[in-house]
Amino acid sequence: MELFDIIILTFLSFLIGYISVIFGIGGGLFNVPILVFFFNIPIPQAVAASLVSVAALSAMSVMSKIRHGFVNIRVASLLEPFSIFGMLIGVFLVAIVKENNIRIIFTILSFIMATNMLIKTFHSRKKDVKIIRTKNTFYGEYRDQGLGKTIKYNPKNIMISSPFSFLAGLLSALVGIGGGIVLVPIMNFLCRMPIKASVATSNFILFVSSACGAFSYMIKGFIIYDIAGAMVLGSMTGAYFGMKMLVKIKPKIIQVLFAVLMYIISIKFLTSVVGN
Amino acid sequence: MTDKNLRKIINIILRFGIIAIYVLLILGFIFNSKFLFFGIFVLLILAVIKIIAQGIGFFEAKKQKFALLSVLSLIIFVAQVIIFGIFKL
Repeated sequence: MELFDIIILTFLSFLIGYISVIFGIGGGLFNVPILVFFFNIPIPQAVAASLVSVAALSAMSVMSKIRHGFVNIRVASLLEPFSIFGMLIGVFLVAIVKENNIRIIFTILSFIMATNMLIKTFHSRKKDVKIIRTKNTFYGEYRDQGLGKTIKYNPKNIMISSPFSFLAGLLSALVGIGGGIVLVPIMNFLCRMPIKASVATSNFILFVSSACGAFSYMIKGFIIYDIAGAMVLGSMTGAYFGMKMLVKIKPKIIQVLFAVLMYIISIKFLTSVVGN
Repeated sequence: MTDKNLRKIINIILRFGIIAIYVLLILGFIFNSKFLFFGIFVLLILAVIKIIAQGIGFFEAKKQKFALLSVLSLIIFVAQVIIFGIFKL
């Protein structure tokens, strides 16, 4: 890869890292299309580089979330093995599944992600704060600076959500996304965790599972080091500045733009599937 | 060990790991692509260390159930490396 391409890729990864931290996602849904369509990288190598970048970005963003106490480590340690196991199966399957099928999965995921983002923008949940009388095993609390109060919560249905954690790991390995697209809504709606805790805990889980997937791709020789290195540098730096902006930004317009971009990516993948 | 202390330890590990990754990647782009490999390798090792710290924290706090889950994560992680590395699947 030329030096100019590396610089462009680092800059694009910076933007992805910046945006991803604001939305609490891993950035894989952007990484793979950029590598495939702009840099003509084959899908397995793009997925591998994306997983390395997702792991780096999650490590960076989870750091401040741990410090603020958003991460529920007990919930994470229960769901983590399922996610890693899903990743193990996914990396195994990637050699069997045809590239076109991966593109179809990607089309569907981008479409769901965009719709989810639009719904979140116009129907934000405000019932996050509840009075807790008894603490269960997974009880968690954190100080919400925005609301100016301590949020206490008792997560529920953790065992029921474990298959979804497996699914998140599986999807991560197949298409190179973080898997937050599956875990965050599950934790928020099924486990009744506040959105900030859901995003942070999902990041914590996906840091490990994406690193695990990246390890397997590394052993299989799929990682192109200069591409992965440029993406890690860009996305980690972007995540750092994104975290600084997180408290100041008014997200509605960006959320709509993000959704439109995801629909465009979805259509682009769909046309490439039809073209093949 | 309380959950708060556990969070502190994991945070420190992540912080040092991230500095190491930055240094190695920048060295990699300037001098030698081998540093790029090590930079990415440190990132992956960071995940393993994080699971171990998490397991030790739970073990010390006598939360055996969670300590076992962390060990299980580590076993799957190592199994994955063995399966793909040694058996070349």
